[in-house]
Amino acid sequence: MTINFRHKKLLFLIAIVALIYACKKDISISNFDPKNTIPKSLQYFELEKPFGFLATTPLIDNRFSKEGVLLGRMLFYDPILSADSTQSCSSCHLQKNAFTDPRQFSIGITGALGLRNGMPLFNLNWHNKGFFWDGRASNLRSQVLIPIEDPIEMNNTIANALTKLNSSSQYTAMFNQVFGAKNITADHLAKALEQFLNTLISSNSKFDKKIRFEAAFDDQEADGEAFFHAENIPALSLRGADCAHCHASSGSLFTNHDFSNNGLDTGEFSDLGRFKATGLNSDKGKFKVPSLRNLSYTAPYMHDGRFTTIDQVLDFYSDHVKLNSPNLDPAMSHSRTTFQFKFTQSEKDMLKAFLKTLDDPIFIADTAKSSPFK
Amino acid sequence: MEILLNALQKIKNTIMMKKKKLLFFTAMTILLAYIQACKTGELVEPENKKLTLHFSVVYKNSGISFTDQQFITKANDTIVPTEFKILFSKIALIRSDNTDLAIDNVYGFVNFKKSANTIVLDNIPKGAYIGLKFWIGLDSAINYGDPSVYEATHPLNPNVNGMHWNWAGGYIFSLHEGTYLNKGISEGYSYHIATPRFANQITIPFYLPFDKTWVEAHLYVKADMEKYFSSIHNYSIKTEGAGSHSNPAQANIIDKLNTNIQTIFSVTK
Repeated sequence: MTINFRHKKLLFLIAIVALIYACKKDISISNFDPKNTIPKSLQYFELEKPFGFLATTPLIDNRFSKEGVLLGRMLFYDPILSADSTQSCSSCHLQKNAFTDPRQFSIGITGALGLRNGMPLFNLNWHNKGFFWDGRASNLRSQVLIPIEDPIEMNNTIANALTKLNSSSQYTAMFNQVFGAKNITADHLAKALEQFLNTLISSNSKFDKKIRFEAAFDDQEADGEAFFHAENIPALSLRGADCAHCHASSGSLFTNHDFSNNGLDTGEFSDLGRFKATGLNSDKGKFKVPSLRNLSYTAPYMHDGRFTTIDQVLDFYSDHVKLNSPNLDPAMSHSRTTFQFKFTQSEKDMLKAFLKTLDDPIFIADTAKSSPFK
Repeated sequence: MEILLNALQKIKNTIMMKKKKLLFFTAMTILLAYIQACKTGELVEPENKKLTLHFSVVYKNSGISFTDQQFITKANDTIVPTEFKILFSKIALIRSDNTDLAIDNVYGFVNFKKSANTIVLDNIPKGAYIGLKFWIGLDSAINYGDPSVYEATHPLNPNVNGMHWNWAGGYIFSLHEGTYLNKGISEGYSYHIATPRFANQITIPFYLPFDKTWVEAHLYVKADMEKYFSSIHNYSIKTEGAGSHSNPAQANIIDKLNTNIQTIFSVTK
């Protein structure tokens, strides 16, 4: 059989078309492999998924690289983003405090006091129901730009922050390397911060080590863990703190990421919480359920930082929940409609012992997350 | 010799003509068969089809906002539902001969507070179906298994469903929360039905001739929340209990609610 020139051309064309078709890949979440999208000039950065943690949706439009994470880390620690270049993100999110502020309210560049206690920053990649105490930012990328423009925080404009960054030869070179863009935009800035913030993974507490069979709880910690999860049904003489409905330990996160009113106040709320984001009356007094990890480093507690110690928090849940608070979480009121828990000292001690197993000293000392300017 | 060669050439030409005719008639036959087949859809219609289940919720005939809408149950409780979610497994379509077509390895999560709740079932063979079955709940192996194995969007990923307590407790199968008026004061109710002991099989009758006229089908599964408290049992929140998290000692509560839940679903096409 002979193949003439025309046939060869035809076969060649068919082969090319087949090759293109075979190579064509649908970039979707199901087949997305970030390693394949990173330019050769960058080193791929693989986000950790610690043992026991839940799977998360890959950020297919932000290519994580070592260079991108470093850039985000520099931006986090550099005061360049504030109007007068005096404050950085790290001014109010201190690593030794699991990236929150030990003050009840943060103080912005003008000396203005914040309205709520700062939130700690860790395991952010698992937050899927909104950021801030009221959830007004739907994702981390949109969240990171808001403090820059908040008049009681960095009091800047995004435009001015970008002008400053574009005037820096170091930053323009780094953004160019990471994003291939000569002009830095708000999207580049947000993506760089998103890359670094998603590396703030806390997964080396005693609890984590226990589920990895690297450590064991003592009796008090084990009792505390059981009491933490146990349901409280007085009619059946069942005693428990019933914490896990909101601070679920599934996936080792110790939050359901939801918004709840835990009964801090009655009547008119001084801070309407989630209502400010949704406008729904049923969201008045609701705030984001925080993770219980790293409590030893994240005082003060609650959205307004009203409690300075874990003991005060336990006393509140024991004796002072406002049962007539509007929109009180049903899972809370179910357990104690007409009564308070009245924890014994022994119960408080074991709960506290368990909560301390969620502290992650490695996380707050990890130099890979520290200021790159030191 | 030349005569012989001419004769052979004639024979060859005749054969070639016949071959061409034969080829022509064969091609025409195939073409006609194809056209005919296309008319009846037998060639273009896939043997297996897609069935999409759309879930929605009402309270009698009214929609539910899950914010501050009040409803009155038949036991005279004034309630405001704020959450209703279910996890389900072991989905099956009931064939017209009453045998089950099991849809393996499909799990569903429905948050009735959200407007879009769909579950797609692929590879459904043609046939007439007379009902839908599923279990609200999971078997022990899945319930107490490691939830970190599920991909980010899987119904059993706790970050998707928010229905997982911990490794020991497993998943909540159905969650219904809200408030009710107790002597004029708003208090919370909370029914978390969980543990394989309380898994609940649901059967919903309908008739779906899933035949060649369908390319894909849609079924609309509606849950009537009125029946949650007011169906086989007229459950009184005030007198029978404002909640249960499925402690075995509270089986009296869960069994009544589970019986009612079996009646809340209906299907339309």
